[in-house]
Amino acid sequence: MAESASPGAADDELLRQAAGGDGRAFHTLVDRHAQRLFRLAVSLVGNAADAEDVVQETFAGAFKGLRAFEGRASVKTWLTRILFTQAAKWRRDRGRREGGRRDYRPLESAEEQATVSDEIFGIGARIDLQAALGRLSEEHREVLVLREFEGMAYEEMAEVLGVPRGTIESRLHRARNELRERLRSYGVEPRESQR
Amino acid sequence: MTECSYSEQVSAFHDGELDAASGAVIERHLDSCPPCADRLAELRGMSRLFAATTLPHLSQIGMHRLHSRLDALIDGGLVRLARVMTGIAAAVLLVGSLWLIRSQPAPVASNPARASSVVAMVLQTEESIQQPAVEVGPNDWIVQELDR
Repeated sequence: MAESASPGAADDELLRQAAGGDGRAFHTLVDRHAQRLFRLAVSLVGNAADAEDVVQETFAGAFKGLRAFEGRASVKTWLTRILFTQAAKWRRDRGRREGGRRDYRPLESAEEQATVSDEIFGIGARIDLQAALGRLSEEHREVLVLREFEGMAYEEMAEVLGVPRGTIESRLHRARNELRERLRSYGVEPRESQR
Repeated sequence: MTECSYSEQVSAFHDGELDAASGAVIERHLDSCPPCADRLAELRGMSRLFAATTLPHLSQIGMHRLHSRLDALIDGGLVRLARVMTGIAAAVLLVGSLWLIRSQPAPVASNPARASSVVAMVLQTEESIQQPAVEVGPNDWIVQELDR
């Protein structure tokens, strides 16, 4: 593994250095974004092993496309967009291999489980949010993950997904309605008592 | 149940995506619309649900695998570059060699005068080679010495 170079440099500067042949600059970018992208990948594909593959493909794709980066979006947005493309490709490949529509695997072990502490919602059972997310349509899952896990603004989400801002707004609204129904089917009422 | 027409905007309000004027409109609306107030409470509850969710981290081994894969990719790029450079160098050498061959003076055979003199020289040399050496016997050598 190469050592990281220029740890204080901005993302776009590191990207320029990497495009100029500096492999260490690219490794620094990887160190900076890998964990965030991995968590996103887990929430998109549903398990750590496949998420790792998706993240690897994301950085491999980014490396091959270094010179294509135009700087119109941030490096973070650019990488996130590549990740979403790779996750979609993973789903297509998986669907082809398995010949079915099942494109999301629930987390496999207790350590991998995305859980919510019982005290927050006062329920006895652990809530598997991943399971609820996994039952949403791909479009709805994507907007929820970007908004709720990444905290992205609508404009940024529109750049990542390549759709107009208005589409994000309406899609997010429908996604939340769908998630609410899924959670209700698990007996979870996601409501705060005060406004 | 029919949704309130402001429902979608309540979602944007919750995300802090409305400008000040639109936000103020929704604030006032929430005071007079219990379904939208409920909707906002739900949205906040969902966001807390997400915030309280812990997702797994990429392990050290996973990070190592990722860097190793990228190292191979970067090294592979260098090898490809070296191959391309070698190919270009070989092409330049070949073209240069062809150019040198073509730019050399015309072959000897194409100049009749010069060719004939060269042929004559060659024949002369061959004759001198073919001419048997005059054998100098011991008696001749003694006579030659006495002549001196």
